[in-house]
Amino acid sequence: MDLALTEMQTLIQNLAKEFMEGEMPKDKVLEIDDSPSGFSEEIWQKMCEVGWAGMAIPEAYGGSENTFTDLGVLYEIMGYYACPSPHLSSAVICAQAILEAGSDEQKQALLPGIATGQQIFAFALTEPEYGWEPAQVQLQATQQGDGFVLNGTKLFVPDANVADQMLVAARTSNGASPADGISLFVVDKNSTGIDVRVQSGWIGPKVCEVTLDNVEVPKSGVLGAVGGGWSTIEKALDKGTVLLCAYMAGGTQRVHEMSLEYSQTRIAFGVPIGTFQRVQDHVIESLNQADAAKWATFEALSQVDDGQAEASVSISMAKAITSVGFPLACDESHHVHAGIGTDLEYGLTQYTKRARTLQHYLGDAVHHKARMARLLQG
Amino acid sequence: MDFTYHYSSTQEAFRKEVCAWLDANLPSEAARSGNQSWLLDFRTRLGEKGWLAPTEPVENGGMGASSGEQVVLAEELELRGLRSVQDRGAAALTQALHNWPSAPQLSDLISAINGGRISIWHANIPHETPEPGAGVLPFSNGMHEEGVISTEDGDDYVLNGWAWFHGPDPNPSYLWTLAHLEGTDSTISLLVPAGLEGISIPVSRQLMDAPAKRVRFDQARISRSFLLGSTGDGLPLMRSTLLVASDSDVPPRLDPIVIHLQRYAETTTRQGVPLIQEPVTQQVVMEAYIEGRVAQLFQTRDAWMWATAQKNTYQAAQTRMWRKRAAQRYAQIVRQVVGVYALLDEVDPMAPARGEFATHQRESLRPDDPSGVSGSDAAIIARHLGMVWKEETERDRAPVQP
Repeated sequence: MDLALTEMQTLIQNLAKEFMEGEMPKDKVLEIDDSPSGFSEEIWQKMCEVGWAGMAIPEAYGGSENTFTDLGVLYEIMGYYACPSPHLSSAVICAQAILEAGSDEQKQALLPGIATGQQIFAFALTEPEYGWEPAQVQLQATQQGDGFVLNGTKLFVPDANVADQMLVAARTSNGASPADGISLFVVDKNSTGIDVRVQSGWIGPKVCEVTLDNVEVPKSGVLGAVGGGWSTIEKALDKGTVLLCAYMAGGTQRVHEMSLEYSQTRIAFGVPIGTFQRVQDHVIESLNQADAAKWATFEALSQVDDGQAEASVSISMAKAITSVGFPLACDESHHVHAGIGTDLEYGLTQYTKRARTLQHYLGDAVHHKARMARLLQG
Repeated sequence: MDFTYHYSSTQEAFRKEVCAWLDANLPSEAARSGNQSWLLDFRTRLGEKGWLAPTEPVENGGMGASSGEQVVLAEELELRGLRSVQDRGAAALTQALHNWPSAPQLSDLISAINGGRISIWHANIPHETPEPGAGVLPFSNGMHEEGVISTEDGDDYVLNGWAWFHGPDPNPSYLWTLAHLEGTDSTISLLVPAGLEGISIPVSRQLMDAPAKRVRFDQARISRSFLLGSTGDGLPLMRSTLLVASDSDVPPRLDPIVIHLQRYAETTTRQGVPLIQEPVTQQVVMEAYIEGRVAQLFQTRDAWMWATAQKNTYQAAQTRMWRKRAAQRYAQIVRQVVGVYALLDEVDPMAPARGEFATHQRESLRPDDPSGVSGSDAAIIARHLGMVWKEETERDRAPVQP
C-alpha cells in the first residue's frame, strides 16, 4: 500500500500550480467566465504548449501517454483554480472514444490534432430528456446511401461553441435494450444544418444547445460499429468521469480553504469567527467532503491505471461523492462567508456555480448510485 | 498509488495455520450464542499459544511473530468477530512497562499479561487536551466531574474520584489508572489491583456488550511501587501507548453491517422483485455503501500515514467522526430498508442476518469516548486547523485547586 505521489506526479503537480498561479488568478477566471464564449484561446494555447492536451493520448499519435493518476493530479490543480478549458471534452472523452472505437485512419486523422490542441472536440450526448442512460439518446440518424442524416437536439453540451468537431451520439435503430442501436458520429461543426447556441444561466462551464437539422455525415464519419456505440460511450464516460471527480475534488479543497482562511481573519465580537463552534462545524464539514472526494477519486484513478474490474464501481462512487460533496462544501462556505460570499468579485461563487453544474455533468449522485447497485450485483 | 495491502507468502502460510486452528478450536455459533463464559477459556488458550500478544518474545508470553504475521492473525480474528480478544489495553500496558522505568514487580507481570493470565482494564484517555476555556487538565475533582485525584501519604497514594475504564474481562485483575496528583499540575499512572479496598464498580445494565465501565475510588490506598514511570509521566505515558493509531495494524475493511444490508436487499423480495431493484431502496443502500467505503479510505490513509511515520494531525479525529456518523446513518438506513425486522435479535427465528441488524442498532449508540461531550472530535479537528484562540486565558493556565 502506498498513497504517495510518484516523482512524475509531484512534478506535474508543481508545474501545474506554477502555471495556474501565473496564468489563472481569480480575476482571469472571472474574465473568462464573463466572456460570451467562456473560453480563452490564449490560455488554451499555453496549456497545449506545455503538453497537457496530449497527456491521455498515446505517443504514436503525438501524445505523452501519461497514466490517469498523472492526469488526476493535473485535474485536481485545475479544479482548485477553477480553470475553464475544453480539455475534458476534447483531450479526454472524445480522444478516449476515438482510441476505443476509431479505425486506424480515423485515429491517424483525428488524434494528433487533439493532442496538440489545434483541434477541439465536443462530446454531444445529452438531450432535452436529460440523462446519461442509453434510453435518453433519441436523436435520430437515418441511413442515406453510404452515410447518415442526423436530426434532433442536444442540450447542455460543454464546449460545443468553441469546438471544431463533435462526437454526436445518435440512434440508428431500436433494439431489445435501449443501448442497442446507438451510434457515434464525427461531425464537423461547420456542417450545413448545425446550429450552436450557448445556453444562458448561472452555469459554469458554458454549455450549449446543438441543433442538427438534416446534417449529413459520410460513412467515414461513423466511429466504430453502427448501432454498437454505447459500449464505447460508456468507457469514454468512465475515463472522463474520474478526471471530472479530480477537478471537483480540487474545487472542494479550495472552497474548504477559503472558509478556513476567512474564519481565521474575520473578527466578530473581538475574536476570529473561527473560534465559534457553529462556524467550526461548517469548516469541518467542508474538510470532510474535500478529503472524501480526494481519496475516493484517487482510489478510482489507481484502479483505472491497474485495469482493475472494480474501477467502474469506484468511478461511480467517486462521482456520487463529489456530486454531493462539492455543492455541499460550497453551501458550508457560504454559511461561513455570509455577505462577502455572494460578492461576485470575491470568487467563491465561481466554485458554487461550477459545483452546481458539474454535479449533473456525466451523471449525478442518483444516477451513479443506481449504476453502482447494478455493477455490484454483477 | 496503490490502495491494496499485499500479503507475502510467509503471511499466507501463517494464515493457513491460524485458520486451521481457529476452525478446530472456536466453539460453534450455537455454543457461543448468549453465553460469554466460553470467551474467557478461549482467551486463555490463545494466550497459551502466544497469540494474544504475538509480536512479543516467547519469554514474554508472545510468539515472536513479525508485524506481518500479527496483521494476518488480527484479520482472521476480526473476520470471526473476535478482534477484541487481543486486548489493546493490555498491549499498550506492556509497551508502557517496556519503555517507561517502573518497579521490577510490575515488569514481572508482562508475561502474565501477554498470556492472558492477568486481565486489565485501562482508563479512558482523552484523545487530546480540551479546548481553551475548559481547564488546563482533563480532570477536576468536582463531585460530578470525571477524574481520579491522588494524594501523597508517606509511601502510598490515596485515590478518590471516578473514571471510565475499558477491558474485555468482566473481572479484571488490575485497573490501569490515570490520576491527577493533588495540588500540582502533574498526572501519574498506576497499576491498581482491582480488589483494593475502596474501589467499587457499580453494576449497571448496558445497552451493548463490553461497554465502558465506571469505577469509583473512595479513599483507596495504594503503594508507590505500583507507579509506572515517574511523577508527571501519567498522561504522556498512557497517551503514547493507548492512543497509537487504532486499527493501524489491520487493513481496513468495509463495515460488516453494510455487507449484511447489501446482501439483504439483493436477496429479499417484495411482490417478487428484489428490494435492491426498488429505486429508493437502491439509493439508500448505496448511500450506506459509500459512507462505509469512505470510512475505509480514511482508515487506509491513516494506516499509510502511520506506516510512513507521517504526523497525523486532524486525520484520526476526522476518521472517528466520520465512522461515528456513518454508524448512525447505517442504523437509520437499516431501519428504512429492513423495517421492524431490523430489531429482532439472534434469538428470534425470524431475525434477518442472524440478528446482526439488531446488534448494530444498539452498537451504533456506543460512544467512542464515554466521557466525551458531543463534538469532541470536531473540537480536535478545529484545533488542528488553527481555529482556536491564539492566547489562553489566565484561568486556563491556573492549576486545578482541590
